[in-house]
Amino acid sequence: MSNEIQDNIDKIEYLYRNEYSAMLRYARRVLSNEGLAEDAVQDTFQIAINKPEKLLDSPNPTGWLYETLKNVLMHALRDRKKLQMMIPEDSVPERELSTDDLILRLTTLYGDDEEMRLLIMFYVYGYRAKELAKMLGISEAACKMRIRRARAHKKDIIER
Amino acid sequence: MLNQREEFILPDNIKNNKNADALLAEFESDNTDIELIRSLCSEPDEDEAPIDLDEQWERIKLLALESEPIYDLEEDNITHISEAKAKRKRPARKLLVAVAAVVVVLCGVSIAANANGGSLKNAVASWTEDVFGFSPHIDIKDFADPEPVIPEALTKLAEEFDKYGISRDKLPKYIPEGYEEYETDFADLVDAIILTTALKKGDSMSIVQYFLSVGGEKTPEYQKDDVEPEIYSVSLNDKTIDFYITTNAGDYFAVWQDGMLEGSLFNFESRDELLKVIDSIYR
Repeated sequence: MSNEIQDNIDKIEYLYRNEYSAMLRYARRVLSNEGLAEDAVQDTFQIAINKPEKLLDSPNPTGWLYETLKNVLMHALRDRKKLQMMIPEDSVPERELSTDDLILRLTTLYGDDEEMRLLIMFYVYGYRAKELAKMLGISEAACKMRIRRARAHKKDIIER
Repeated sequence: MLNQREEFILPDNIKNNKNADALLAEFESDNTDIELIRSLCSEPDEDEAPIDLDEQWERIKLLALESEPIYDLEEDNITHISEAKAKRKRPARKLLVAVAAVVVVLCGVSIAANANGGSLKNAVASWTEDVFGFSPHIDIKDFADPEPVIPEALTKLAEEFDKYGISRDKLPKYIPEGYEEYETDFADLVDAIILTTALKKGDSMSIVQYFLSVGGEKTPEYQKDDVEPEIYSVSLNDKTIDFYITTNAGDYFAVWQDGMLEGSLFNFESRDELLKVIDSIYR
């Protein structure tokens, strides 16, 4: 890794260590959902690492982080709301429902549409990407890419 | 059988947090009041599990290396208040989705160790039954020849080359007849820049893609059919470039390395057409 890249990562890590806890609590309170909140904050730092110049060239990097988080949260809320509307009310499982039963119920609703099942479990039922990754037998990174791809494929539904 | 999910509904202490209204008001406002957020979120919630910052940071770094964020700032039109004017519209993020069918992942340095394939000349190539990839390359060579004539369909790609200081002679000067530019995209990742143009003719689409490593630690892998890659060598004045030609789902593709630049040509209907494109590079 080049010095410049490492230097950027170090600067982002400094911000991370100062802000992560407050950002996570903020996300939890806005989303009222643990898993989604954790993934939203993770995503915010991932965006920062992928685009370090945007963060570090900003006159207010901390402000940039919170703005980004806010934007991510807005999109997460929107996606969740749209997807929630797609589930018939009587099919929303109670908290006692096991994961297997939930998957079975979603399969009944969406058949072979794995992307829709994935999105519903992530956004509506608040499964973390790492939990879904475990279920699917793939890495967390691969799972995030699937969620990203599923969002893109279901854009017409989510953004309608 | 997976365990029953425990966090389906948030604990009441979070939902009923006395600061919830103030936070939601902040969230709904156009401005971001960091001090307010910090002051309202400084204390842990009652049932909050301790956060392992070290572990979480390692995970985030790994995720950033291996995947892209779920939310794309620009694809989703997530506009930073302070950046609205400076934002560059990425015209073709969906292109990368299409390319993702061919390019498996940007992976670490372990490809060669895991592969069955061999090492050839200056590029270390390796492959299994279903993927092909080069090992990372750290040789920097640049790039200042007279400007060659680029097909119109690759004009935007050539402009991206200019921005990154890559010589246009590494682009094809020939593309199969009737193909036009469908879209051109770039992805500026942590350790790499990916420049892509999709060419379209009727229902056929071919892709010209370049992967410029800027960190030396990532290389792409490509899905392929279970056939041995053919090596097609092109001799230049000072070096020889090996093009690895194989197929994926029956369509021909070629991959080559030139210093830190890795080029690839995907979805060509015939080997002959692909060879013509290859032969036009560096000319």
